[in-house]
Amino acid sequence: MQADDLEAFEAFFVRHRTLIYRTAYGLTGDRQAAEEVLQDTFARAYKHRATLLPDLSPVPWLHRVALNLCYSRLDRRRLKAEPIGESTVAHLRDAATEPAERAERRELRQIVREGIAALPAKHQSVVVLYYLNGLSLQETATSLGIRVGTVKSRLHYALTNLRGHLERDRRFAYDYRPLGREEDLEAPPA
Amino acid sequence: MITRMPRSCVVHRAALLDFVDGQPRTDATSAALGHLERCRACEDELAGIVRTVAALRRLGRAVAAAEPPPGAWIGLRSAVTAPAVRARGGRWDYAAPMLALAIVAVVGLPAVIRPATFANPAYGAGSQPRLDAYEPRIIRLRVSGTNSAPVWLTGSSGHPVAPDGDRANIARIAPLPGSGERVSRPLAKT
Repeated sequence: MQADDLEAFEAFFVRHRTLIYRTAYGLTGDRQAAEEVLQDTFARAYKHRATLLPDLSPVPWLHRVALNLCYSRLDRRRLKAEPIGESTVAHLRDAATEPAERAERRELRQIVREGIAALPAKHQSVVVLYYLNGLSLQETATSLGIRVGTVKSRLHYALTNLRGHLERDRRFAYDYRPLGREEDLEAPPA
Repeated sequence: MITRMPRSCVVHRAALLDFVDGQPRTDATSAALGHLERCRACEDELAGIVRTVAALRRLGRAVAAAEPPPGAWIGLRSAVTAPAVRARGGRWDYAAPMLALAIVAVVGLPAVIRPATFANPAYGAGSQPRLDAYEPRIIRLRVSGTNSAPVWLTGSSGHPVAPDGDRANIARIAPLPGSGERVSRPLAKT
């Protein structure tokens, strides 16, 4: 892949595209943005193909680039103040009429995304590969070039942090309040 | 108030995480589950982690159905094979001209303002420069071992106490009697 061989690059793209696309889609929740992140990530890989070592997995590099692109996109989207147009009005109308359960699920996913974004970079990678992409512990370890024990340790810290994030979020207060026992429940008003 | 987690809790939480993640049961898992019956803190922790993992898995299920679009390779190939068009208006476009301008300013300005600012013994210690010092004039030079001769001084400084470069200039313009002998120093104006 180090030479200007487009066929080799296409094989490289086909091998890793699903992982990167799902990572991008999982973090942005937007298919268009995920496609752009996919293209930008591999365009950078092509640009830096001479520095990618053939005997090392390119997944950690690709994954880190994709994560950075996702978060820079999300930051831009957050900062960009657009006037309300027709499409925004239509989107709000749709959101208002969609079933409450579906809206809750969408909001839950968004809170989880924000929780992942708040994690340190090395914890983001293991969470995204293991939970969002569905890789096994061994596959996650191999992809990132670390030991299984390290993956488990990072997942442990990531879950603890993420749990704190979710429980602090008011939008999620109902779903993520600690489970109460019977003795904790308030007595119903007489 | 910071409360320290009991050692037994620390030991069992890793096993509880494995249990939540569906890892095969071991002796450590059984011990951790036994501990869970006695420890309310670990029970709460486990419940929180279970909810967090469930939220991550729900997001993962939404992501698992996502596939990269079929035209992604065509778009990427066009992007990487297109001739590089240098984007205009980037901040680095102006870097080279600005650097050149800065070098000219740093090197050239002292040469322009030197007579007024550089210390020169001919001006007297700390005094203002004599403006007439820069006008060409006839001066008499004493040449060691011989007589003196009038010389039309057109050296670069035009100064009676010219530095070495000007001495060479003087000698070249008006070869002095007793050629080969050193010009020692200027005497006086004519």
